[in-house]
Amino acid sequence: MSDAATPNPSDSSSLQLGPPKARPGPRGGPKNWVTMGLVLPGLLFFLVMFVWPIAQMLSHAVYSPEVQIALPRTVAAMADWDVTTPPSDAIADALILDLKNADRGDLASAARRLNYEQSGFRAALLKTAREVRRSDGAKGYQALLDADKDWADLARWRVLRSAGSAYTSYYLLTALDLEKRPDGSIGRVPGDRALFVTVILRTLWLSLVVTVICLFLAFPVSYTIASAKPGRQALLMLLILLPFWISLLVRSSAWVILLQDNGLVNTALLKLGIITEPVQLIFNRTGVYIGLVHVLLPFMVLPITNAMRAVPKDYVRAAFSMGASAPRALFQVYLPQIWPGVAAGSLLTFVICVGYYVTPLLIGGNQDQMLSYFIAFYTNQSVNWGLASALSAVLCAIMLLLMGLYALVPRRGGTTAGR
Amino acid sequence: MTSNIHVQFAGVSKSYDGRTLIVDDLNLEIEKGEFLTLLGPSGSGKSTCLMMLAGFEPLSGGDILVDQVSVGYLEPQKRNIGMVFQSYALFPHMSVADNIAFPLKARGRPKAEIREKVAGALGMIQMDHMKDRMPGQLSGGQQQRVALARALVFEPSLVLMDEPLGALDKQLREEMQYEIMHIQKRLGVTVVYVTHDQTEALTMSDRIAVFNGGRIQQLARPEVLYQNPQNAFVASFIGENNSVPGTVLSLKGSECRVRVGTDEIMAHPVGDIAESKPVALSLRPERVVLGSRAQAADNRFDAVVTEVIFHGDHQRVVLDVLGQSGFVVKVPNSAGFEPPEVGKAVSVGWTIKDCHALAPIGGSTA
Ligand SMILES: Nc1ncnc2c1ncn2[C@@H]1O[C@H](COP(=O)(O)OP(=O)(O)O)[C@@H](O)[C@H]1O
Ligand SMILES: [Mg+2]
Repeated sequence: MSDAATPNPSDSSSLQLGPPKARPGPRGGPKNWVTMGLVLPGLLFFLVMFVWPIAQMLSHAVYSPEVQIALPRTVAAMADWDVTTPPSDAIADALILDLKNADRGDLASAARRLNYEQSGFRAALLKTAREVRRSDGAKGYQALLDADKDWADLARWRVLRSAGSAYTSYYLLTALDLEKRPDGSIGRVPGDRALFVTVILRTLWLSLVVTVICLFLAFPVSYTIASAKPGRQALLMLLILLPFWISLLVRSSAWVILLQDNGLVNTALLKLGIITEPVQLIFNRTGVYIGLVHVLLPFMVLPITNAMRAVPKDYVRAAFSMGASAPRALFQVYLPQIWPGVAAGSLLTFVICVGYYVTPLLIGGNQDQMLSYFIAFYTNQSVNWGLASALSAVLCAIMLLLMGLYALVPRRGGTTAGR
Repeated sequence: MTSNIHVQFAGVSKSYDGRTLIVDDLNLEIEKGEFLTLLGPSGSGKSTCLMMLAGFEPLSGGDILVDQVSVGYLEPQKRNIGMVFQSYALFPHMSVADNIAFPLKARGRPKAEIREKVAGALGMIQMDHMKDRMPGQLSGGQQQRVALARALVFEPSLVLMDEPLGALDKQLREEMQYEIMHIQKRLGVTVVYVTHDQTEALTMSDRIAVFNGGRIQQLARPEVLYQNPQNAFVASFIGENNSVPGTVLSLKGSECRVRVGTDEIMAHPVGDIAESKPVALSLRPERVVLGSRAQAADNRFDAVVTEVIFHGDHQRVVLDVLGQSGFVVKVPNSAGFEPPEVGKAVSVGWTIKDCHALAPIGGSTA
């Protein structure tokens, strides 16, 4: 093909192949220490303000030493109890001694912990403590039975024994609607007590729907912004960010005003004759979708807009000039370019949505509460930190899994040719 | 002869904002197999013309005909025009071979044909061994070649190139100029080429349309453009040029008398020149002679040398003359010629036909 007059391109082009060689070897010496010194404050802050509290919180999911703290002698004495015969007087004496000496606060914590696993335990334990303190000198198994006859139930002793360990799988299992059977096997809890798996699935499903809706809404918005003139772009961006300046509570409450039965939307629809009676738009799933999409849309719009802005106009023009149809130009040229932005936006939206709390609380119904609601409930209202932590751990695990999947997504696009 | 016209701009105008005309009543006929260059300073509307021809920008007025058929409202996909962008616009997520195959796949050609044509195109740009590379792994020159192959592989009869060599360094740019010329001549395609580099335009083109302010200042073959610029803009934009402002005293056939300060110069009038109107005298530095050689010239003046620069095959002598400074003369390094010394007086001269009296920039445009 090459005729004599054509200059040989491989000569000149080989001169500028590839980027310059990377600098050899890592550098040691004092410069490293300076770098370390600069990085250290940030790192410390990160460890102290983020890693440590989260680790602390999550540790409650498995670390539960309340019983060991309040009843140390009992726990020690029960170590070699055979589980099937009634406990010896030595064990009973240890319990009586513990109940007499235990700090009130510690005993209350232990009683609450034991009550999670067997309802009624709390009352029984506190009552027994009162009895043994009053009748000074009471001793042996019989003394316990005198205080509360249910000490004859071996199941109660088994609960006490298993709760005596500082580490427990109880909370994590509960968070997944599982339980440890008396024979040591793990199985599902009966249907009427199952709760969290449904909530987890509901949370994931809701987040998925919200993410997909956001994705479809964000596309035209992002495209409009990305293809607007620079001055207009800044203004549109400002509008997208505007909601962040308004309190989330205000925004969520505003939806109540708009969407309630005699709210703006229903009134308008009634007046226009589109509906004959008010549609329930709030305190149900519809309301949650509306509210969450509204709150989370910017997190989808921003990364996609950025990705779109980075795509030179020339790509699509080149595709058209080569005869590509609009769908071909879209799917084979444009979308691959903005793919990283779409992936980032979807992940961001999904992850934030999974952990969302306020909006569903304000404008959702009972059947629309997400996992975070239960975490908040167990933290603030029932003060069951173990379960709150376990649910948080489940949430974290889901997030990490998603992040892992995202990391596996092939990075397409990348550096552009030429300029 | 009309059948030989490939592309015709007929009274095309374009405004982006509805107020300022970026392209103003453009009339231009491009012949089949011609290499036509739109040359002009940045912002003069060259790319806009190309984008209208490619179908990416709507016309504000007039019409564009390709093969005598209006394409004013035809979608870009349907125009069958090859296009090379300054940014190359290679798809970064596709390999070299996939990039080149793209226009063929878009046309739904059979697999075997695509394979064969892609191989042929790779051969043409001598890059068979790099077909699996990604564009990001190629040098600028290689990317340029791939962009060229991609624009030609579907055998369009018309190819548009918008400053395709602008991002390359000088040496590579010159090589690519020749390569593009050879490929164009071999394939016989019509090329509309945009550049702001006059050397590039002079080297490559069959004809050049010099653009300024959205209007064609002159449309001619390169040598005509260089020797006979139609106005002061073309004279100053193409090649090096001494421009001396003056006023026409009298006009007679192919000669005119022009007053410059207190001096009078005989010149060759071009275009719209009238008595007692201002003109710009245009003189190519290589057409001016110095010293004893100036004795026989039609116009002869005394000058003072302010600078002499050695350029290998010639010397660049800068003079104060006719009350002006910075008058440039190129003196070839021919045998027996002594270059003048700085600070010395010297006489300069030129013939009437080398001194063009042109309409000044900003005056009446061509
Ligand atoms: N899409 C656009 N919108 C508004 N103005 C534009 C647009 N494209 C180009 N222009 C303006 O049109 C003029 C000519 O631009 P262009 O055709 O790109 O010139 P050239 O290619 O000769 O440098 C410039 O002043 C530029 O600012
Ligand atoms: Mg341009």
